[in-house]
Amino acid sequence: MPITKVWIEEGCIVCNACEAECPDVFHVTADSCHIKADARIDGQEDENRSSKSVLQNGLQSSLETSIIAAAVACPVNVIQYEQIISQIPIEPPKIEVEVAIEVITSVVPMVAETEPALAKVQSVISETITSAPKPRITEVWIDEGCIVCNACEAECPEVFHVTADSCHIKADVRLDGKENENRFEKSKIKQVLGESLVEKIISAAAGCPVDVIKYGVFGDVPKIEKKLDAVHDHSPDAVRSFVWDIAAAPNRVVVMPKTIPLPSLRTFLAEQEAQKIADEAKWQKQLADYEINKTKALGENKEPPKAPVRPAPKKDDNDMIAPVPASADAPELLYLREKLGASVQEIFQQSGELVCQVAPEAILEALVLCKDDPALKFEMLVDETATHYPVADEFKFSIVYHLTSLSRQRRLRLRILIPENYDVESAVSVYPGANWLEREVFDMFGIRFKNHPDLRRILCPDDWEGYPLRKEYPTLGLGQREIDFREDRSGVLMRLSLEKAGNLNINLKKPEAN
Amino acid sequence: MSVILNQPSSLEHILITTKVEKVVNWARASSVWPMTFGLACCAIEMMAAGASRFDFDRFGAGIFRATPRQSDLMIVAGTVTYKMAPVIKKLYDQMPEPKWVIAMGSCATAGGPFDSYHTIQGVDKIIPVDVYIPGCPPRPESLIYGFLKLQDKIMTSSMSDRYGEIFESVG
Repeated sequence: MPITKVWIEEGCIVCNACEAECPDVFHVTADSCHIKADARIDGQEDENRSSKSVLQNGLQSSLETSIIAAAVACPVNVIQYEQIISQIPIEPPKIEVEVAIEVITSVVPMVAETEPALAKVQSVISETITSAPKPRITEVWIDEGCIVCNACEAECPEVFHVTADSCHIKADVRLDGKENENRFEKSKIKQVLGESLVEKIISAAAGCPVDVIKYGVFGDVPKIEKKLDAVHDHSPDAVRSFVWDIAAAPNRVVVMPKTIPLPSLRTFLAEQEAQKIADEAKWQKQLADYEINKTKALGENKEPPKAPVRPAPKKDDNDMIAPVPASADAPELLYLREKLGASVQEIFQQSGELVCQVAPEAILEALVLCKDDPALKFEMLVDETATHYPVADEFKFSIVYHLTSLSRQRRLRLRILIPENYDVESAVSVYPGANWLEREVFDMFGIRFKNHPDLRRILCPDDWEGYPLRKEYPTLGLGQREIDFREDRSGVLMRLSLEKAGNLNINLKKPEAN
Repeated sequence: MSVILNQPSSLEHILITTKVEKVVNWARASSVWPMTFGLACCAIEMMAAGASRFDFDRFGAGIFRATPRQSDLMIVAGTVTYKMAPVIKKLYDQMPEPKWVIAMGSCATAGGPFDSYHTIQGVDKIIPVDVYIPGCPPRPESLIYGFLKLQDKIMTSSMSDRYGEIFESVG
């Protein structure tokens, strides 16, 4: 059959395989694959995707095999062609006629004794001959790979018989009367049974876990989707039903982790003060209890209880010094407070690290000062990152800038606390290295930066949904997707992990019970 | 005069009889060129396997090619993320047949510790894998052992196994 048209669909990986098979038609360039001008009637040379130009007459038949070989060799199957298929009328299978005759001949002698039966036979005959034949199964056989699971016999005991080590097509239904897998004989099955058992046989084939039940059909048999039980349901729909659907779980409860207080001198001092007051109150209560017990015991002429002893404050004897914040005495911090004034919210030191918390509006000013001021000269932005504090009241995120002065060998941490939906001024204009760092913060936390030159996702794919380092983001489910490059282990692993997420009630729609 | 028995005849000195398939397999198994392609920490072990101490070259697999078009073997060394998956698939498609894949380490085998939103639970979800090497990361000895297993597989493979489908469809 001559091939009239050849074209390349989208998705060519420029692998040269087609040119190797059929150099007369295909020409692989550096970035695409062309159908050659020589081979085409319109004389252009491109993928022929839109024009679908017809091939030269002389080439249509002579290159048929090599074009087909090239299309088969294409690893991504983008080579398409049109082929003239000669119009031979499709004959109905001859076996139909034979079987019809066989049924008639076998039925007639049995029921011809009585009049109504004869009429019935005649009606059967006329129905078989005049009306369109009913759709039916012509043959059933078991391919190799049967696991002898009994599923087919449960569905259709009339046809299938599962023995200890194989599955047979019963002798009753077959024309040749044998009982085996029918793999090589492919014996036809009796027509009456073939018609009445259509649905049962098809559902048995659909229910076969290894898909080895094959059948030949005649006419339009009903299509039955492969049956899947709840545990082994690997269909894409079933997997999709597990995937994140926030609308499907409106009552979902997200348990937020407790917000760890930010290390800060102010909070540290407040905590210490509160602890002191609590200790004092406890001591006073102990004293009061003692007094009451003492008078009570004296009234009853009993021995008075022991007087309480106030516990001495614990002394840390080990070498470890707790990283408690201390008031700032580093010249950099004092200088910053002097220069920035009210914009500095807090300065303190902790384990020798300098921390300066500034107002979010003043961050760019602070960065410029840190970089350019000769007294500071923090030339390098080592890191810029964020933290999510979902249950804090007045802020939701903190952004920290770790600065290093290479010339002065000092380090400084700048920090801002921002609420939700606050657009921070980008640091790229001061430190160009902040570009990707801020993209990462945007990717992971969804914090947007004003005046950033290229604020796109950097780690996640561009179509990602949600911001993974936010505390409410589930580790499973959201973002996990079906990979359909390959029929893999039926997506079992993906499915297991999604199920696990579903069992943990993490934000996932559970499959509907039906 | 003594007669030396069991001395091969002169013809047997210069001739061996074997199958073409066996010769082809021998040639393929003895010169498997891997692709320079590392995804995570396993790649460091892969580099160590290629370097002088372990010397992958002893098995004919020392030539790490920088392009898939010249490679026979893809060693998936590391975590396969969703973002990387299309790239891996494309690289695999660009490799010429015959080609083999080793899934190195538990991440490439089954997702490893990253039972999470961003990781594919095993590279065999996107490309067929010939040899799985467990370990986190596997030591170079493990990689070499896995590679020897792959050589065994190549030696026992039949050309019709691999191309049966194509032969059938072409006719």
